[in-house]
Amino acid sequence: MNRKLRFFALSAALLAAVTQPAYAATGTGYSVVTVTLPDVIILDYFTSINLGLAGHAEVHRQNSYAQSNISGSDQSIDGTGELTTGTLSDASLAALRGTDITLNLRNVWAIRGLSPTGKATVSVSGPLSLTKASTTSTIGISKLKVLVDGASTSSAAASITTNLNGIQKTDATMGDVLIDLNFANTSAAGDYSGAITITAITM
Amino acid sequence: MKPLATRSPGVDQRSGTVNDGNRSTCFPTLLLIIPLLLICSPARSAVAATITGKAVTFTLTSADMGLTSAQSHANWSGSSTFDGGDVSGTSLSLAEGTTTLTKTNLLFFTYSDNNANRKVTATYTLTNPTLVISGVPSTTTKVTITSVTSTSVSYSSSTRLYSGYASMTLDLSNATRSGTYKTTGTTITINVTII
Repeated sequence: MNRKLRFFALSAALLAAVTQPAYAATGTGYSVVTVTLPDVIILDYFTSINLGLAGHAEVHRQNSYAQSNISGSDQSIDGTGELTTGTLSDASLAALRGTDITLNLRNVWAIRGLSPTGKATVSVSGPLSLTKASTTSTIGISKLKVLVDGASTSSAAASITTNLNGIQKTDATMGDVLIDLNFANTSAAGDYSGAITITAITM
Repeated sequence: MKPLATRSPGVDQRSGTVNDGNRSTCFPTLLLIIPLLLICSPARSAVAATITGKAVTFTLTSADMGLTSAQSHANWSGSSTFDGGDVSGTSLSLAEGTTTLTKTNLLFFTYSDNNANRKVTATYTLTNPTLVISGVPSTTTKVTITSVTSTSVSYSSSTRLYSGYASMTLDLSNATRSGTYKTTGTTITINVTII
């Protein structure tokens, strides 16, 4: 028993020496943290915009067509009221009379990110017409503009400045593309294509 | 209950040392213990801790935020008439950016010592976790440090420096601008214990 006690006494003494807290020292330091965030701009866009235009048909009734001098033999009939390009009625839709129509393609792009000013420019460019393969038929394009979705169309322009609110998707600014189409040189139904470019730059 | 001063076989409750009630056998044991204590004690000399807090500076990239600059989506489809007007189509499904970032292996402090056998531990306390761009109010944009966690302390025999590394987690959800964010006061207090 005594030998056991001696053993424990020796162990306790050694343990006390090893875990002696009186020799611990403490120190305090301070760190200043500097974080540099780069310019970040994230443009969400569609690789393909497919716009379908609804078909259209209309019928125009003319008042009368008369021929007063029938000879009884073969003859050309050129009666009063014959149809000419001058007497045809205009199409009821302005677009079919050669007037531009404006389409607002809503929410086709979105931007978010970080910039020194918290702002970015968004611009759009594209061809003068959409073309149909193997034909000379075209749809004219003009007045390509971008617009923050929900903003007044008066603020639409080929290049606009808008806010960058951060990188989360809830921070994104959604945007539209306004495009004027002209069918004056359109003669064929079918698919027309062309590429437009949307560019976003931090500022 | 026995008085504390009573000597009897067992443990002396005042000192914690052992007493078997027989001074003649206890004496050699004490002779053995005292030299051992003397041997052990010099190796545990007191240290004067001088901690050098380091400036922690780093640059994030857009890749850190998990996004590329152009996020493409498949077809947008919409229908219109020859009248023109608003055309609504397929909704954009935006990917979420990463706003909680953890940078690892950041050097936060050094401690000079020629003894390579210290046990050095550190804790970090955030004293001013909000970082801002100079001249821009935090209501407009800010980065917040949410945690700093000690990861390792290493010793370099060539420089005789202990180096303390930690991981730091940032919250970028309220950052709206690029640029350099820093605190206007002490950011992190480092408490180091050296044994």
